[in-house]
Amino acid sequence: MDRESNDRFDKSFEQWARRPSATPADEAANRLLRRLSVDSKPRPVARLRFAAVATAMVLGVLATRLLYVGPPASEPAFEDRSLGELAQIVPPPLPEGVALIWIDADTPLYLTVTPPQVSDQLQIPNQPPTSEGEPTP
Amino acid sequence: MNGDQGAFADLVERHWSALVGLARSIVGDSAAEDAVQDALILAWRKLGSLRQATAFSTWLKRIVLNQCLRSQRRWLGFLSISDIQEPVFETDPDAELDLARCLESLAPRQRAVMYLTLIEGQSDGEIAALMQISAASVRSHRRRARQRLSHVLSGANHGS
Repeated sequence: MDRESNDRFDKSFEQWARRPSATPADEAANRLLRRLSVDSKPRPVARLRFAAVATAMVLGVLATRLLYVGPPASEPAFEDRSLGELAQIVPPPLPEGVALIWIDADTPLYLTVTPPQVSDQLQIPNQPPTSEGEPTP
Repeated sequence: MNGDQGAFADLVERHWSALVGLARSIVGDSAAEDAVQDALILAWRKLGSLRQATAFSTWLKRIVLNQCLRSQRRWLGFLSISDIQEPVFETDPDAELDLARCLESLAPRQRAVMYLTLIEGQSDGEIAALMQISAASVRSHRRRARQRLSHVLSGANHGS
């Protein structure tokens, strides 16, 4: 840029830039005071920051769990479960005196338990008579 | 709080013209005073971050500068200097200078550097501290500004 053009620009720019402001300084200060009085409510900056940090921490824990621990293990198929697992998972509403045995995953076996009065009537040999107070073998 | 606000307003009144001049060079006439008012509200909220009372002028100017540069980014860098109505070539009426076109050809940071250099007479180091850039960046902004202005003015001269 030649010197003459430089000077022309500099002078014009200075004239333009040094013009007084449209609003006088005292009026601008009063306007600012009015805005400050309206804006005097304390801003919940601290609470917002706390909420943002807490949210970030929770998201970080969840992300870590998913990335490093993995999703919760899915339950095995019904046919892959052991009989013991089936017995625990599916407690049948059985009446009194009835027992449930799983032959396999698809075959339950219900047994009816004979009450004690019936066993006495069956006359089991070599069975000592029970007396009051003694525990039943 | 009212007394503090009053003291703050007194300080603002003292610096108002300089702040508006700086803002005007970046965002143009129509938006300069609103930009400064918004920046002053922000400065009031950040008053606790001011470490040295003697640095108030620079601190305030930096807030205004950053506010104006941020607003320019939102407006996609368009500068509404087209509201310059009166001619500014009073010293040489035969050499018309399209100042608006010249300033619109500059980037906001370039305009800020030119203002701080030509109008406030600040050194490269002072401008660098205010704009939080290196002195080399200040010189680069100014050099590119001069190159753009040369291009605009040479095009105007050829056209006349």
